[in-house]
Amino acid sequence: MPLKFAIVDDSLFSRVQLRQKIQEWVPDATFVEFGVSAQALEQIPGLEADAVTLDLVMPDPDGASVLEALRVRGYERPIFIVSADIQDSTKERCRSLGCTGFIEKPVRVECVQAMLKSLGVEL
Amino acid sequence: MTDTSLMDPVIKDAFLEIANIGIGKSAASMSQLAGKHVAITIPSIDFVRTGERDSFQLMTGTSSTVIVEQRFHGEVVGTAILCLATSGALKLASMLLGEEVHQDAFGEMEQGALLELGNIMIGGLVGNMSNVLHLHIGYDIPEMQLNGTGKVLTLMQKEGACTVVVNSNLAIESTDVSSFLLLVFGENEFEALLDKIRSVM
Repeated sequence: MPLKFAIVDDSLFSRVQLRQKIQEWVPDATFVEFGVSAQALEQIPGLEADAVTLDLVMPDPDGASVLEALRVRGYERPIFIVSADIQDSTKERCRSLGCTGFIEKPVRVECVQAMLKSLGVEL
Repeated sequence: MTDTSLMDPVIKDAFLEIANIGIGKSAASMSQLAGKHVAITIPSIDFVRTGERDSFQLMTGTSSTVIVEQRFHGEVVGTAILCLATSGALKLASMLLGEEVHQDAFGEMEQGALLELGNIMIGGLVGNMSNVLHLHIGYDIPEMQLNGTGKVLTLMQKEGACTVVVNSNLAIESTDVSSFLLLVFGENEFEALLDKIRSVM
């Protein structure tokens, strides 16, 4: 089964960038993209995605709220935060809310590789 | 009060170092996005008070400026603005998207690319400031304006406003793009920031 990713980011540019980087290593990956976080929160639990990538600074609800809400509802699949908010305190907060990993924007190839490895992809 | 603080070389040095690291992170980010080496000049710092706002136009030397604006709040409150001359913004959009961008085709994708670039550059500068000063800052959604000079001047004109202007030249291959990152604070907010700086020195 190809890996399935849910990409949540209100920036189309960022979604495209991340999707292309994942496809470099996992060409048969499939993607469900959300530009509106409320839709993501509603639909992600039913998607059976192998991983979720989640921007932080988005119109309501913001990424941290989506992360928190998903975890509170018992969503256990990997959620990687992908953000330009590089503050140490932000990373710590996301960890405390249950993120699987934190990837700084712009996304570096090494970070995508690390995420894929953690999902069991052999690179 | 504030004017005296701004003359303090220790304060200016602190801002310069924060800007230096922040711009370095921003250049690395831009390089990553464009897939090209980005050379940067050492940033210069200027402090502009309300009554001196015209000096911003003198510094930028252009009336047509693309801006990305993002408010931040928390222990320090202000507005960060990335300003690019329109011609420079077009060149950057071309590089980010890997295709020629004409001024009359400054479409959704081009604006989206510049908006994200602004978000990342502002995150580099403000995030570094926050880390150095052990703060936590929240961000509003970034906004972009294709002709934002008026908006910048209006913000800088507010009573008591103090603007930290960080200027650096970004050279990507044979293209030079002058960028200005502005941090606009109200009088009390700027005093709070200065207190934070003093507390870590």
